[in-house]
Amino acid sequence: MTSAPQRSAPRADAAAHRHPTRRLSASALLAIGAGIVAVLVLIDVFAPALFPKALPARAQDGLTLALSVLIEALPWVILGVVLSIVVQVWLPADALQRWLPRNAWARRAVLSLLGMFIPVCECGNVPFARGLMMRGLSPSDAMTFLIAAPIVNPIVILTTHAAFGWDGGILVARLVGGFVIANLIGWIQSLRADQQTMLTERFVATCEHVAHEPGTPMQRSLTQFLIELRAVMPALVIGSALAGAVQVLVPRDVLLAIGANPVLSIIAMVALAMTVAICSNVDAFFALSFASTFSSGAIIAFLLVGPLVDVKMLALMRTTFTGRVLAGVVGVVVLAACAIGLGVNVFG
Amino acid sequence: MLRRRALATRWLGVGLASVISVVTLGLGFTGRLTLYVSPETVWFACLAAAVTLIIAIWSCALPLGAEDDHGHDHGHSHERGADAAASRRRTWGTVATVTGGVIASGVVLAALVLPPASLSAQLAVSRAGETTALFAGADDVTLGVADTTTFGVGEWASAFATATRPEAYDGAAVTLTGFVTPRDAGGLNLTRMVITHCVIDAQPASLPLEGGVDGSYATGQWIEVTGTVRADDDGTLRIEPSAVKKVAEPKDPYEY
Repeated sequence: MTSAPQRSAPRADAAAHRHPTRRLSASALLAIGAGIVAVLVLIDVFAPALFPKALPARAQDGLTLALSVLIEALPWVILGVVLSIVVQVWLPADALQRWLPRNAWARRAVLSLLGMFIPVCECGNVPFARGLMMRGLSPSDAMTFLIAAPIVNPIVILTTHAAFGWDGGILVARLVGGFVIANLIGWIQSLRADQQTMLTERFVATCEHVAHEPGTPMQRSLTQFLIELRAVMPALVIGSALAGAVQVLVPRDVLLAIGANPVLSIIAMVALAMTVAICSNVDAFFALSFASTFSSGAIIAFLLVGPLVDVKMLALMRTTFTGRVLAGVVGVVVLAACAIGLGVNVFG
Repeated sequence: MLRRRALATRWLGVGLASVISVVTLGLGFTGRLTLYVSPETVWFACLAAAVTLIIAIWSCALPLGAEDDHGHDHGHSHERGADAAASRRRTWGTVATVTGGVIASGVVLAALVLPPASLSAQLAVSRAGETTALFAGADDVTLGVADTTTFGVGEWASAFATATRPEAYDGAAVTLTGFVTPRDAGGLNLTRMVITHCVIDAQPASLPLEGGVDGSYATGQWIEVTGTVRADDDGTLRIEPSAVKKVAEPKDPYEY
């Protein structure tokens, strides 16, 4: 949706030209909205009775898995969108710049610890990071936050500790590894002369649009809600669908048969991490069930790669960053995770 | 054209979110949300869904197209003959947007019109090699001194796999519900999917049933087994059923 020359006309005019006689009052519009939701509820209540056992088992499993990711992730996405609106509309324009250190390394270090205070799971981080960038944070700094927050956050620390305790240095390796990888990526991306080239054209356009947006803060918040959902929802649904499809299509036992080999096991767990798309809050428990068959290094690689670059996160990040940037990020994350995992296997 | 595009924009954003919210609340009110997420997160999912719907209805007050990024198209990459490349990229961008939109709409609408379902027994069978680890190094389970009266299939499977003194469990009476899966060595397993947080992390837990069951149960048939835990001389544990009866799939097919 980038072209169409007639859209360069100012918005108010365009709206007036389109339907001059069909301006509806706010309450009528709200009634339409409520009506649409009521219709959806009716469909939800009555349609399933028409399709008992409509899908073959495998497709149904894929749908069930995709839907479970969706239902679980949606609250976090909404929370992320709300936080993004707070940053973008309600925070004073120069607040971020005032609070953050000027030195680049110190600023990225602070940003990578921001996840300790922002109560959002990894899916919600994407809209939040978009809000930060609209408020003037540079893309490489925002990327540092985005990569660090899924790992360096209190819930993840608690659940990883609950699953592994201090065994084999897994918790420490995960936290330090996540912090180091995030700062490494932030530094590499900050070397780009033109930071805007990291972003998709679409997101740059959105940034320009919201910068000149008229209206009361309340109206701008609502508009922002629509914009962010439009950006994130299709990616979230497709990411979840991919995660569901991969789970039913890729035979897991092939990956798991690799088992204890110190090098291959790491690669297998990295592949598993990228495809299963489990939320970083709970992936420690999932990884625990592989602890008996896989090396500690492989478990650490799984815990580092999964939250950062699984299929769902990549789909979400693609709304904002170009494919080339993401390929670089995946490369760094996977290589660093493999290196840390190997280090643990050899020296641990 | 403009109007259609504005409608598509609304649908792919707030529309998809609303449909998922309606599905979430529908499942929540009928008590079936645990088919997808763990009981602890049900309230959070429902609350967020309600908030989403309220803001979604409220956002209808904004005129159609209000959020569209008008006026941004003032010629990036139009200079220096990059036009062809730019328009090619734009075509691909449109194709990707439309394809993605259709897939996303399909998944979400399928969730709306199809009845909810639990994971199939085939999936459990295909993951049979994985072990569940419910008790991270809990010594009482490993040593066989845990209180087993509240154990489900998942807890027992974990105890069977990790017990260092299997004889401590010998003779324990059990009544367990699960579905039937075939065992590699021949015979049947009693299986249940165990979930930590949501269905995507589901892992099967299986207990070997030995003796007292004939082969007349199809894979995936839900059964209730009453019996006793037996330890063999080599330390492997199994369940010796005294009674097996077919039951309907429980309302809550997973263990947490």
